[in-house]
Amino acid sequence: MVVAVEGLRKSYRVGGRALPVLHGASLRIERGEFVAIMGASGSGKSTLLSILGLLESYDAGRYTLAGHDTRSLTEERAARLRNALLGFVFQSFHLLSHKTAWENVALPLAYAGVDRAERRRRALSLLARLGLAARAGHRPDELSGGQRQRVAIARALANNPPVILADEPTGNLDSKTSAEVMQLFREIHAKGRTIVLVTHEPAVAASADRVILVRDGRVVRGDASGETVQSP
Amino acid sequence: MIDLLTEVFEGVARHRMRAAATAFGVFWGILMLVVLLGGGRGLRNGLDKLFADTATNSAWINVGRTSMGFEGLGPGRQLTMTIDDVEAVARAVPELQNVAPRHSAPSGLTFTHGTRNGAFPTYGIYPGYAVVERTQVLRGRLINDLDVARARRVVILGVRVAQTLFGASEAVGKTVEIGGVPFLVVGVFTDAGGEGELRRVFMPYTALAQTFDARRQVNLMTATLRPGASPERATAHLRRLFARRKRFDPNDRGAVDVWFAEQEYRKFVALMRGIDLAVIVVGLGTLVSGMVGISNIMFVSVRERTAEFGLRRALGATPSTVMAMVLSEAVALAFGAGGLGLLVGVGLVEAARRAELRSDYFRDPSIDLRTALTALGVLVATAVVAGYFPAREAARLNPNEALRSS
Ligand SMILES: Nc1ncnc2c1ncn2[C@@H]1O[C@H](COP(=O)(O)OP(=O)(O)OP(=O)(O)O)[C@@H](O)[C@H]1O
Ligand SMILES: [Mg+2]
Repeated sequence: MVVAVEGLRKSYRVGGRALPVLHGASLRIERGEFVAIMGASGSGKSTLLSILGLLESYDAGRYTLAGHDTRSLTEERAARLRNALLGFVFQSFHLLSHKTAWENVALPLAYAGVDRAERRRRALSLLARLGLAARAGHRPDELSGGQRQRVAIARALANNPPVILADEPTGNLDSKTSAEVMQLFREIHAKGRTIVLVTHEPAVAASADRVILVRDGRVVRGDASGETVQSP
Repeated sequence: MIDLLTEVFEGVARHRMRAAATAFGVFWGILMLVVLLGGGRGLRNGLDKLFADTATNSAWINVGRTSMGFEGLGPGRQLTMTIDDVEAVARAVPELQNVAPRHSAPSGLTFTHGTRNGAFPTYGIYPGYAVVERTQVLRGRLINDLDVARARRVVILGVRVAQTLFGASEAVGKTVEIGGVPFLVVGVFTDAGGEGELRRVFMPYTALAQTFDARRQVNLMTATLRPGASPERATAHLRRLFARRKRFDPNDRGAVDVWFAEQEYRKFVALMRGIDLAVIVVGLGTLVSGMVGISNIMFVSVRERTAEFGLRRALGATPSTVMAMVLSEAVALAFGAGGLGLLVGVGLVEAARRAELRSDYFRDPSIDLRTALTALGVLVATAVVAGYFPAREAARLNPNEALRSS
């Protein structure tokens, strides 16, 4: 089991008041699974994914990531775990605009302590695998949306992490480009990586092995592997 | 290291105008500081030289032109001094000692010894003059009272004069002809005042008057202040004495000119204090404005890059990595701009020294490299302080919120 979440609670502080978002969410994800998280807007999907990504703390419950209890992690330790275990793909790409495609891809390698020549070599080979060899020296504003998201996916793969977390990765793409990006996710999954992907679109969720449904801060369906769930 | 520099460069480059303004401020501050330090050193060198070869208690007395009418005499009268005035001052001004005349021989007198000859500034003096001028005997002796009393035809030669006329052989005891009149060389001297003063010749005032017809005239009077006496009192005394003897208004400031080295030295010391103060003010100003400027630009830069810091954290940057990144941007800004200011400033000071930009009051400006590097070090340390708060802000960002900020 790579992700084990039990009774997770989370409130945000908004204007001095607590806004509860997760009310005891539980779920389990096996190594190598491809899981889609679905649910209404505001139901807490992104919050859940941020907690899974160690980007956000939680108030109560248990979350174990690849055997690491995440309750009392220091920020330094969390950063190292993110670097080694997790790859992130965002709806808005989050590429650094002043860096070229390959430099963006190489960023996680820099934080892993890989030297520059090796970083460049690995970034270029990743981009080539994703059909972007010709774009390696371009800056994000010289790329199309689909190309930008593929650069971001290459970056998520750079450190070869076992788990990829993606929050609406096709949210800013047209349907044809979405289909291409999802094809890419399926290939990545086929190579053995665990993928957790938040989406609104049933067509996107159809690529997953399993769909987890979140409603009002709770996982209401598909919370453990083995359950058979149809797309809602 | 190269990575860090690239990151730093990219971070700073995104705010070109703002960064340029901040950098220019730091550059200019350091430049001014260096120029001020160098110039101050030049002034100190110049004035030190000026005071080095005269006794600190020396007084220089001269008469000028009257500027006020007095007892029917019109203004604009050129006054002159005679040897009687020297004697009167020696008698009647108790604050002064070693009162002496210094009178120039007619210019163009030729000195001859064998086949060698030359022309040198030549003065008639009393022994007291050597005290004021800090003349140092190398060989033989100085002019003494008996030489003056008997109007002996003796001279003492500056060391360069002796070299010109006698080469390597001993000058003392030899005779030199001055304008055709034989004088006995009784001494060879040196002086801290530099080359010019080593080309001078001194003889008893009385011998000069008799031989070259000075008609009792005196160009310049010198003296030393009696220990503990007040230079202000001495000046007042001298003014009254001269006013009575030369018949001018005692309030006529231009008629007699009295210059006490000590008083001037005190003014010089006060001036140097002023310059030191200016250096401190400019230095502190540079530090404070540099600190504020750098802190400001780093805050702006951190706030604009919130999403970037969120992303970097997601990719594995630790809070301390982020902190180091922002701090090095601040330091790079200070070091780059300050270093350039230092370089240009040192270049200017060095150019001024090479160009031998000098006057009586200014020579050999220089900047002590240690001081300059200390200034730069302090600036960089300031940048660390200035960068600390923006860096801490960046390091404390919640990565999830930072990512949502774009
Ligand atoms: N950092 C935050 N601070 C305060 N409130 C937040 C924060 N993040 C999310 N929220 C609130 O928490 C609730 C859940 O947000 P979340 O982004 O997790 O929902 P979601 O399921 O991802 O929605 P969507 O499908 O629209 O992306 C919302 O009401 C949102 O406004
Ligand atoms: Mg969301």
